Amino acid sequence: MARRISDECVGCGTCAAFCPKGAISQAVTGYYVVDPEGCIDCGSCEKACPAEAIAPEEGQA
Amino acid sequence: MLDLLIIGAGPAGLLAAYTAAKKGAKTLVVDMKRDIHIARRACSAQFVLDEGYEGETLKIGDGKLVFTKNGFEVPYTGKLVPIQHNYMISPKGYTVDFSYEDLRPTAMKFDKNALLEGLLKQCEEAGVEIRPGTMALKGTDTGSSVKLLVKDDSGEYELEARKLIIAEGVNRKLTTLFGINKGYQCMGIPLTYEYTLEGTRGIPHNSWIQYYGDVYHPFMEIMVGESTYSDDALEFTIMGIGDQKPKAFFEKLRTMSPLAENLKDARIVEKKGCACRNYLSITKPYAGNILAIGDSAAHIEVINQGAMMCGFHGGNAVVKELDGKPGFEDYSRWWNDAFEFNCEDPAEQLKMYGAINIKRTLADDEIDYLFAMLEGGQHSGHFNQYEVPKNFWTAVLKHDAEIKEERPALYEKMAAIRSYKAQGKF
Repeated sequence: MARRISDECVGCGTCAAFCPKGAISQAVTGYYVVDPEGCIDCGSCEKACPAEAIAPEEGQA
Repeated sequence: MLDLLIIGAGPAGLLAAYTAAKKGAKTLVVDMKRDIHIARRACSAQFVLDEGYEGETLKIGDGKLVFTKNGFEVPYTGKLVPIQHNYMISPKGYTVDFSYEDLRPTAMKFDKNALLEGLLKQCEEAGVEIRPGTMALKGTDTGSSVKLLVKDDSGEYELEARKLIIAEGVNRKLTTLFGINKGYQCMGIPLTYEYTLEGTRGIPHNSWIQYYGDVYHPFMEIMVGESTYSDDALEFTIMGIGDQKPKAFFEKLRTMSPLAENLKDARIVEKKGCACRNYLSITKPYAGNILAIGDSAAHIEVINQGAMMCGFHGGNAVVKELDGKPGFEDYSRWWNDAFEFNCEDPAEQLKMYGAINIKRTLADDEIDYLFAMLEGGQHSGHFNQYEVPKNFWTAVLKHDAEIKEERPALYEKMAAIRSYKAQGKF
């Protein structure tokens, strides 16, 4: 269970600032990634993402 | 042990680091970003040149920004685009122009990457250590120091410093964790998406434009500003909230609004975004050994020049504290005095700005009617976001008798605004 960030990401870092677990970080590409181990699937990042780049991983409701 | 640890390598954090390090404080800055010299968040900020804005009168010198009242300078050698007009445009295109008669700039669009590069270089020269890609997770104030748990590619580890500055920006994550945000309620999470467009037609340059009306956007103005991306480029800032996302509003603007023709052949060359938790300003932005500066304590935003002022005063405050003096109290006094959102009754202030908000108050045909009335005149050149709506209504109220006769319903609707004016609130 985890959220996933698509290539709609603009690299603003809002998701990382909203993640209560510190489970989102900037990749070397400049864009952001969710650490599936740390993600508690709370959806805070998805609600705050201005680029609509975050959704539950495929296969998840 | 470190003297000063700073969370956040934006304009506030970097100025604080430089200011403290120059006076001998052993300083470390951490930021979760890897590429701290690249601004990826939407930022339509411009250098505001209004006299007395945020208690300052900013001057642009040769390769530097001069904060004439606070008494410091910052290197800046990037591109500058003068902003001569502050335009408000109605659904039918009636335009109210706020500018100076001699068209001297009211603001300057700048390149944020260049600003950050200058600030970083200055920090390095002063001996500040900067650790990008390092996220602050949590910490404790031990009374004699602050311990902070951070995470980077190698894992988690602890840092310790005599003082901590939080300069994390608008979301108050660490500010909340350290208890400085206690008692403040989040009032909403506005979303912002910013498109840099080339190939627009008929939209003025050297301007800051706000398009008002449901035909553009149902609850906010569309903001269009200059860009340093290229001579042709303009930045479109679109807001959203909750499930009403900015991208859908942009699609509507591009295809169905009065601007559709202007945007028909436009190309998107850059996209940025941001979201922030909207809180009232923190009036006591410190606790123990920790100080929150810039947007991390503000009502939404202090804008870059305000952030640098916060950094300058924050760095000096830490130096005083290290010397056993009440630096944080001094900072707090300055903070409460310098920014307009720090006032005696912020809830009442919020209510007034809600009442004089053009979009919230007026229907499209009323916007057309009032903007047509003011079109052609030249109004005060002030750029200050607090002053512009006041100046608008001051100009409108000069036509009060005419409005009463021609549009009695609109006249009634303006009762609250008339009352604020009568009370001398603007």
